[in-house]
Amino acid sequence: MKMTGAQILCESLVKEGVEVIFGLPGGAVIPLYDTLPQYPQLRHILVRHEQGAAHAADGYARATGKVGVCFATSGPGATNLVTGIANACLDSIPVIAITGQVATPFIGKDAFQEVDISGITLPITKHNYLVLEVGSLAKVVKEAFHLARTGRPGPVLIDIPRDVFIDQTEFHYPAEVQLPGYKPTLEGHPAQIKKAAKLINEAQRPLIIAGRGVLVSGAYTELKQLAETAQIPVITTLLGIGCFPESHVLSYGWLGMHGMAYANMAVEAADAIIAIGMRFGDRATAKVSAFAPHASIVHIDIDPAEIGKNVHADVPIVGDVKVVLQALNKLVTSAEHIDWVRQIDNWRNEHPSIVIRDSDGLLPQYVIRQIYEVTRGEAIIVTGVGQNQMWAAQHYWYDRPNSLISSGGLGAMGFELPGAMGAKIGCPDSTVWCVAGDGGFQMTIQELATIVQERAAVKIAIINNGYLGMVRQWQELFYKRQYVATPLSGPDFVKVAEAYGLPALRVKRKEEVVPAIERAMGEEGPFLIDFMVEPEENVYPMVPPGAALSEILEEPKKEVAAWPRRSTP
Amino acid sequence: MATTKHTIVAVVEDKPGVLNRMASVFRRRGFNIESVNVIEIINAESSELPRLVRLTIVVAGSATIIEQLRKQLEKIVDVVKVADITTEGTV
Repeated sequence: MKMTGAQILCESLVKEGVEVIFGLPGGAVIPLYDTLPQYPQLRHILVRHEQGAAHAADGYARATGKVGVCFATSGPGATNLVTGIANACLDSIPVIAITGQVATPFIGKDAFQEVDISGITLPITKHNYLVLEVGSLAKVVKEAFHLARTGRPGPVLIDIPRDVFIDQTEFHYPAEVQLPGYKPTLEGHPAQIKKAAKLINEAQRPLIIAGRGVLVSGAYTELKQLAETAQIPVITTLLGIGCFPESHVLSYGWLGMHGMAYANMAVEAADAIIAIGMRFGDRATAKVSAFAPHASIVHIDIDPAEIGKNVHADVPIVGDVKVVLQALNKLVTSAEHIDWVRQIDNWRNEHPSIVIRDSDGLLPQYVIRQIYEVTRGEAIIVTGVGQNQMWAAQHYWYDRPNSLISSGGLGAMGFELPGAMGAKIGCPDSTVWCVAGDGGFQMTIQELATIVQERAAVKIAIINNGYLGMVRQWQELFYKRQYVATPLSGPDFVKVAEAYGLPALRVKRKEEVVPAIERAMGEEGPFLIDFMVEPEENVYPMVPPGAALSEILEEPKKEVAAWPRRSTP
Repeated sequence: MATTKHTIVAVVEDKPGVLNRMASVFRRRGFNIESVNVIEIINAESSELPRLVRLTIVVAGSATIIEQLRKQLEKIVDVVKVADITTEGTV
């Protein structure tokens, strides 16, 4: 039986197990949307801006481990996806973006709402397609899903002209893909694994740095076994948070610019580093030439292009983290490293890093800690970017995989609300808290309408300090307190929330924090709390830009902030 | 690190845009391609297999960076294989 391109696309999505699509229609995709009612198993979530669709698909993918899917029309619909696609690309998130394109006879003629979206997204996708005839559509969708979810995951964009949605052909969904240029290596090289085991077995001060690759690969038990067998302390990257329980006795937080001082000190002192599924990003390594000066480095990653890119690997192992660790664990002998572990414990005692200072004021760190207490550490936390993100990562403790969802590589403010919406729709039985700043929240605030329309019970905590806080912090510390273009005024978020139809509260004092969070948890639907926190609170510890991990700044004895605070609504 | 000329050979799928994808890797890192030669590979064994093209690219850079570049080219889905065939003294 012949089917239209739109039907073929929907049939293919069903075959790939897609349940949810985030999108917004427009001229070029009307034929596709017209077909959606034939497929009630595909739930379409109507966003208010396509950036929200891409971020929601991303948040959905991170929370569920499934592929996230978003739809947009041609031209502006497609370009609005770009930030979200780049976000998914830098954090290796499996997202399929399907865009409409002008009809094939109009391509390249500057037609209405025409942009070359496959050209635009070329450097920010794992791969992309422009489908010029309906006969290749099923094959393209099959390949796209295969590429998005295997190897190092990433976004794949499929651009489909209007007439290709309408044209008809027989539907055959291919059983396999044929991609001669794409064969991810899963098994690590045995000789390299042997070398790595020898290095680990001989190390006096070994340290594991675990990244998002552990989450992607689902190698939690393998990681735990490695750490416990040889008593190796574990730190994570920001995106690796949750891949190893933070309450574990061998867990020592995470490294980097705002990581724990003792984690950074451990990197500095280690004689062997086992880097697992991470890419030595500059926010993690700080000054790269001074990174881990005493350590031999074992680098395990599925992407060969990551080996030696930022940091030289003494023992590179290309392969799937889970498969490699299974092989490695057979060769690693049990050990104690008592002195080394005790040393890091001492550093942690001397430099606790995530202590909340004594204050009667409303501190953002205190807010996060109370969300942790009330949710008993069982929520999925989706953050914005900047100070709120760092506090959420520092002051909530993550024991479960994929419980912190955050824009790491791209650092895209505006991810928080649609990202949380995607996570909640993907995991309806989990409590999802969106931790936002008052700056980033306004970038995608329109998705409040989607949340209300879809009854997605996202709990929103705005860490409202009246500033673009992280930039303000840099201005305070490195630009002589010249606060250029960082003070923000308004809006009244409680009124905004009410206008969108969700209940909200404003919290100004410490003692109101817990009752407000409990109230939010007690509501069946979404809820927003506007926390009016200390405006000039800084994130510590901090490695200044350009400095080495060892040059970490800890919280100074704070003088009282003299900067005038904007009036509160 | 010493900058020398490197000759890179790539076997890629014969598809529109593949040259663009490869050129994008060079452009992003600010490399000037000195020459590029494209030739179709005739596959006598089967017409079922994807059609392939061989590219020969000359570019200047340090060995470490060219190796990084090679891996990033190989990461492109349509690119099947990339080798740095530079050998000193070859005419």
